Amino acid sequence: MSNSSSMPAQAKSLKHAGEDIWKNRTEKVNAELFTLTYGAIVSQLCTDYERNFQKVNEQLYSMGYNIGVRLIEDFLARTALPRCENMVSTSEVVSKCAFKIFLNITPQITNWSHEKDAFSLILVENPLSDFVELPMDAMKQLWYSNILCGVLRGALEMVQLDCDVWFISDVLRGDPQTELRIKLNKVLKDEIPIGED
Amino acid sequence: MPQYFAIIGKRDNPVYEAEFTAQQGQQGQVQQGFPQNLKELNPFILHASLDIIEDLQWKTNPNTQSGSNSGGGGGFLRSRNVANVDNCYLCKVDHFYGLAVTAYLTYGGMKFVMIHGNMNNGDVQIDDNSVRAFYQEVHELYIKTLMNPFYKINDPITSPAFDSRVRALARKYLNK
Amino acid sequence: MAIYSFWIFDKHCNCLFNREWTLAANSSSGTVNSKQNEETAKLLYGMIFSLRSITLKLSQSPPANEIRSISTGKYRVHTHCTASGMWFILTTDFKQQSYGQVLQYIYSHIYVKYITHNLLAPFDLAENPSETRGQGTRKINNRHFIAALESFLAPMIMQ
Repeated sequence: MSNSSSMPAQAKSLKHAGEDIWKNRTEKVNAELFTLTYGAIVSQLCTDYERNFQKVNEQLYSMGYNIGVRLIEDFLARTALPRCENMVSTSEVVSKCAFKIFLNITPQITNWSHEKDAFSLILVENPLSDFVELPMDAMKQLWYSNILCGVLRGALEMVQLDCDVWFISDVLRGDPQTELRIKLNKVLKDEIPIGED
Repeated sequence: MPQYFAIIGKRDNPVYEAEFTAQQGQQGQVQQGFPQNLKELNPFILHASLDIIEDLQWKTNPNTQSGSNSGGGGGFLRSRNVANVDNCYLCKVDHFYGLAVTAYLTYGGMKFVMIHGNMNNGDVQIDDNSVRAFYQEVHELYIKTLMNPFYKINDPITSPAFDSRVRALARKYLNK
Repeated sequence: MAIYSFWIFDKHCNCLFNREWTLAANSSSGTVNSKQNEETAKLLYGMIFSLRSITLKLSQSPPANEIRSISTGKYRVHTHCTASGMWFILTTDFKQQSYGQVLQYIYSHIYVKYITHNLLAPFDLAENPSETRGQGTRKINNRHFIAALESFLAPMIMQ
């Protein structure tokens, strides 16, 4: 069984699994409530940090991280997926399963780096940012959906993938598309009990 | 004919204002705006009619004053039994030397008011159906603005997107 | 069919929880979190750890060659390893073929619900490096978790 022939079939079944879990085994929440809740958090953070948007970005990121490290267990409990062998399959799982199950969107995977260790997700629609219009002073600095970076970073770290995750562009800032970059730093080693090495 | 449109907040504070003129930018047409002296007067005319709107708010049949009873039945304006937004539109509520004032009241108490100017000193004819459609679509835009987490209720609306959409609606419904 | 004990290990090789039943007929017998720092826990972990590293090496091509159960003359050890490094282990008598579904259920409906989704509890019990690599002593004491686990496993113990 060669790797190349198994890939499309695997990707297809991931898509199917994601759709099935979203349809049958995911409790839904009202979209407006969800969007407004997140919006209230971001705008409150902007007030609390006196419009220091760099701080707001960091705060959103760390909130996302705290979500991600727990969300991964939820994700694995639903999907029972094993660890991915490479970043290509990781990207498929993130896009077709994770985003599908939790946000009901399937971002496009593009812009692979030459070494296949970094890729971009294009978010055609972003349920976090419906209705949002950034104020003028936030346009250049605030990454409104930065919580997503934190979530991905936390979740991937828990499956031993040390990654950097950041936004490259956002339609809210007037960019043509919303692009999120994921870059693998290294695969963390599983711990072994003392005395085994 | 030109119009002056404003959204008035719950504390009678202006939230948004705009002036629409006929067929902007078309060749051979003079910009049909309000005369300068009237321009300055417009906000005062609008504010004068706010009292009437607040009175009408609790009247059983708000449409009787304007004379054109357009389907609005009995019952309080804010009746719980009427689920449609039709009774938000109050038709013509006031007039001022040949200018007509129409109004629309959202369920949250925001007042949408508009002065309809006249071109040739004749009486202003108001096409209730298109004016109502205009108000209803602006109402939808307003709700979307309200959903923006960075917008606080009763703050002035500064979004250029909102402004251009409202102007597009004005071209569509008022100054065909 | 009888269940003798249940264990949870985390990715730091620490035993987070164990439950032992001493009387087959009584689902409330036995102890909670009594043996996790004893030799038993270390031996159990070591056995699965070694077998796991062998089986994973035996077959390189995906999907990973995970061990599901280990049987001896009298016992059977059922394992469920998640991608996040959690191990759920059940020791039963010899007759029971597979408890994979049971362990998956415990993970997804009991562990995730009461431990992971409990936002005020730490997501990682090892607080500093000296509590990693099998040296940690912290335990899961959440009573909702213990109650849910016991009531789920009770019918299987009494069989």
